[in-house]
Amino acid sequence: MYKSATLEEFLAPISARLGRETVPETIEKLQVSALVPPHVTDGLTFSELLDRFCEEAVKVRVNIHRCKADEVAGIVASIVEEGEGDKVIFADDRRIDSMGIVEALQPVASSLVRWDGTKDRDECIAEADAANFGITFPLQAIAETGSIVQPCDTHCGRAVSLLPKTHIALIDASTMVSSMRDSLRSIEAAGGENGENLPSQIVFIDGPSATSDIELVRVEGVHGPMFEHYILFE
Amino acid sequence: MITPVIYDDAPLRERVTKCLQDDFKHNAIKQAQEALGSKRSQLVAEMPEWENLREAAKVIRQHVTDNLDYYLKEFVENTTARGNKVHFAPTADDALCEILDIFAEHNATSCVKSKSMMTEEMGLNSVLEEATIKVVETDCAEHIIQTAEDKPSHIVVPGLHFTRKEIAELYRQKKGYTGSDVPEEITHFLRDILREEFLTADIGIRGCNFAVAETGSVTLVTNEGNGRMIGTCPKTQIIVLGIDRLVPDLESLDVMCSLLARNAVGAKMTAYFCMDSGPARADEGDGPTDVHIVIMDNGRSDLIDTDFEDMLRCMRCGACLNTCPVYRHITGHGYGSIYPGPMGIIMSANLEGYDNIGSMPYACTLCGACSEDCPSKIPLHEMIRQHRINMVEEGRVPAAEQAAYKAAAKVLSTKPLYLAALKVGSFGMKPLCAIEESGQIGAKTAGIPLVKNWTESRNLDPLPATRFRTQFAKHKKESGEN
Repeated sequence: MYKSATLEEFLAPISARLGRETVPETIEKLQVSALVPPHVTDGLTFSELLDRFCEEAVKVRVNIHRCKADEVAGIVASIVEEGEGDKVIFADDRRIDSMGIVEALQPVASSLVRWDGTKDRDECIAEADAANFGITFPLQAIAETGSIVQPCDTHCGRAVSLLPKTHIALIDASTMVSSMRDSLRSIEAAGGENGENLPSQIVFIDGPSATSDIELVRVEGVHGPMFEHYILFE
Repeated sequence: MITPVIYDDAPLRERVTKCLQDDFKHNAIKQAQEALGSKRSQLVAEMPEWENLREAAKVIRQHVTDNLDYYLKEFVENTTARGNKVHFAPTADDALCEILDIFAEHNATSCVKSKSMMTEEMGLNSVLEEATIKVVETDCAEHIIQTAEDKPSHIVVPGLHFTRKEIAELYRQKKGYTGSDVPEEITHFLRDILREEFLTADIGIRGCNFAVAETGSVTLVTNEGNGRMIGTCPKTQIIVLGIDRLVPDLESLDVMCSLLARNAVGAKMTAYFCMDSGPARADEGDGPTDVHIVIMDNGRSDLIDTDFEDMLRCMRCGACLNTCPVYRHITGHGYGSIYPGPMGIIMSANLEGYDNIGSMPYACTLCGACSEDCPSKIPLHEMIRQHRINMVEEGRVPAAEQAAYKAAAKVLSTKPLYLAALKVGSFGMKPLCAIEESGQIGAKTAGIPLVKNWTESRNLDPLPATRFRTQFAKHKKESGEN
């Protein structure tokens, strides 16, 4: 009969290799922040950060739209209208209503599903799988890499930005940060003691899903979205 | 001996000869090196702080090794507090037992996998299949390799040795594909057939790039999104984590992220980077409700305080493969191990011991290009050299080679013998070179003892008619120097 090792049994030989009898209670911690050099985008002005973000996103084949907040609904509707299929799933965010997005989509979408994580799990996933468009509101955007930071919770499941063929991210320009370091710092601050308040998943998205596995030819749309739209609004 | 790590135990020379004959494979690896390498160089050139970043990564990773027991304990406590179940596997066999137990506990009969070297290392797929569990690899290249029942030729892009035609034909025969040879069409076919697998599998199995001790979070980079699918659809998730994947905190995670994608694929970021902190909450609607983390040692901690300890800093980016001149020619299959290239030689020797790796440490010119590129500054070529030294000290050298080196030592350390040898050598090589169009000694003249092992697969320049010292003295005299 197989007997599982305990943490103590697992760590004992490792401590022994390190020349000690037990795991120390405390160690001299490394001052990581003092070691790490600045990111290339640190020190850019706000408007430079926005420009850099757009440049980087275009490089990873994102469709970028820059606009005023009151233009977002119209742009979303036109993407859906021109796109392949017309079933839409969206994050349950108050801005979906306050920005008039549902209203604008009604004439162009055959079905509009608001994510509701309290529903049956299989139903949630099936709805996202059937949708052609997924709309989310990222927490932040990162200028250095052209990435967006998407937390997943009851209002916005993991599937919304993953299963539909097109992902549309609605990004509030005021959430722009320089680098992943800045993003992780704010996530750490909001995460509480030892990360107890961290969401179950945060995904950093950097363009459509892609592969180069066959003869190094880049193909977009492998398991996740084929098309990635960022709508950056001020 | 064939093991999960060593999949081809033919002598090195036989494997190399076979690989050199495959022009397509050879060229595919060359192109991958050039494409990934040039993109990487461009990104490095844009970062004035690159060397400082490497140094930071080195210091952070080494600090974790020096306090490995402390950080493992901290990670386990925090990830348990986040709701994950942790299983401890001192060896690969223990990991297999833990994983089989998890399948039994959940009455699971099928799983989807995203690429994980740890599961390769323990030979998980064949063990699960023996237990009549359906295993589906979901990374495109891994799926191709699994369908073809073949082995990877690269750790980042493992299926480069197949042509698009072969791949299309494979899916026509085995999966009912009816489309063309165009990579886009084949890939979208894979999207469709694998989507179904993700939606119906009982368990998702994945690896972990870095685990954060301070928060108990686990992370995964993926370009295709299969890692995300595994974290979204199946109700149960198994994460296989090596003890050498820890970082202290989120600040350190940023350093590793800055280096990993740039080094691995020449991109600033991969398409997706997931950071998971516990199972999905009850009100989330998707994501795994049960997360099992299997932490595996499998000989890694034995490296602490040895000549090979630095290997624990490796972040598996593949940069050393992408710059290695030997890898370029002999390809991943030349090594016969799931871990190929410079890091692969060291990993294979560490995991399998000298008895089971043949002459693998000799598949290296000791040029040091790998060490120059390594993001956590591992002195790879020096460790390969150390493995050779250990092998020689243990007497693992063929008798003929021992005799040849004894003779060479005598000739090279005795001036009259050395001068005589040079004269004879230069004179004797001339007619041999005339046979080849290249003017070098090559395969056609591979009958000469001693140089034979070299010239069978590579050309050798003839010794010049005049010695360097003679030329140098002449040049000095002509330019009027004393």
